[in-house]
Amino acid sequence: MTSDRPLPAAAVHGDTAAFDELVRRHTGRMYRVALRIVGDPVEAEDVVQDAWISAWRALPRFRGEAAPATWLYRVVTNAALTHLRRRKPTVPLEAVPEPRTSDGPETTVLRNETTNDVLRAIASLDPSQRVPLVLRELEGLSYEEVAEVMGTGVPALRARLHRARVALMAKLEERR
Amino acid sequence: MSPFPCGRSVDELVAHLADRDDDPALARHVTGCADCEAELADLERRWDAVRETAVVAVPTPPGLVIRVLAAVRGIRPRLGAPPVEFVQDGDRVRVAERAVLAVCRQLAVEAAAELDLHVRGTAVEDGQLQVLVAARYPDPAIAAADELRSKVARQLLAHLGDAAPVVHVHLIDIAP
Repeated sequence: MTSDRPLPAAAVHGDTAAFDELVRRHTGRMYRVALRIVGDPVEAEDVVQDAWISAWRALPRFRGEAAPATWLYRVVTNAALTHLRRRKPTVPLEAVPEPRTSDGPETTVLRNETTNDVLRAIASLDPSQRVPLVLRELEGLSYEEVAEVMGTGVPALRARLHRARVALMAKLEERR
Repeated sequence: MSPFPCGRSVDELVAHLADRDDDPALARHVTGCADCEAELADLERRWDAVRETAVVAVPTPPGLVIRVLAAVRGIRPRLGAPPVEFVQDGDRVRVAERAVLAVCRQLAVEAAAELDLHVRGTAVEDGQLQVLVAARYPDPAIAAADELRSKVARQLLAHLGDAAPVVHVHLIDIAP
């Protein structure tokens, strides 16, 4: 697979296939991030659609300082936060899809319960805590990468992440 | 958080759990402190659940990439497309096709959200706006889709006058 780097510039110059290629490469990851932040599959697809529309519109302003993947993480987390701000209070946070696994049935059931508990605990946190948690602990980005996505400094990010981890641990304790 | 008899706190142990190398003095203390060791073991179990969640695959919904590509194509103007002309307050107004496509999508998304519908794509062709939507079971999807069509048609008429496209709403998915 060739690098993502030339694709945004090609798309800006009218190569629609280049943008489509970005969509093919990154939609799965963007859906995963969106789902882990908003906690609902239907809304996660709304977020992904909004994120790609925003990415398309913002393309002329993309200067290429960040890697396309980092830029798209930023676009999808912003779309997710916007979505959460608009969300009606009645929307349930309980609907998470069955995780895909190749283990046996008993292991699968236990793992699904564990995973659902974690995702529900994350979904019950303040949105400003969900984003760094999802990016760092579930997506595995470095502190520097998460800080770049969130447009903040590493010390501020570390402080926010710490509060988010403490809150998550407390939520998981409540769910036991 | 209230500290343990040793003076350390759960907050510090959570920080230790996430970044073990950050505080060597705490790392040394934990190995010899019964209170901290017990609490840390408990926190470890919860933290393991987070690590486990991080490696569980999140399946991309079937057809999502295709729907995203269609949504992006729905807001791309045709190459060399002439501006759309309409009468507003007695004056002839010319608007770029790009803006018309954006307005169509925006109005559809906003109206759909009010009706608990989820836009999965919009397309304008030959003066017709096609809006693809998903609904949640057991919401009254058909009635909502019909209301969406009327609502978007009214709003487009207000925005685009005689250039407003005819609106069609297609229910393409019922989500659980």
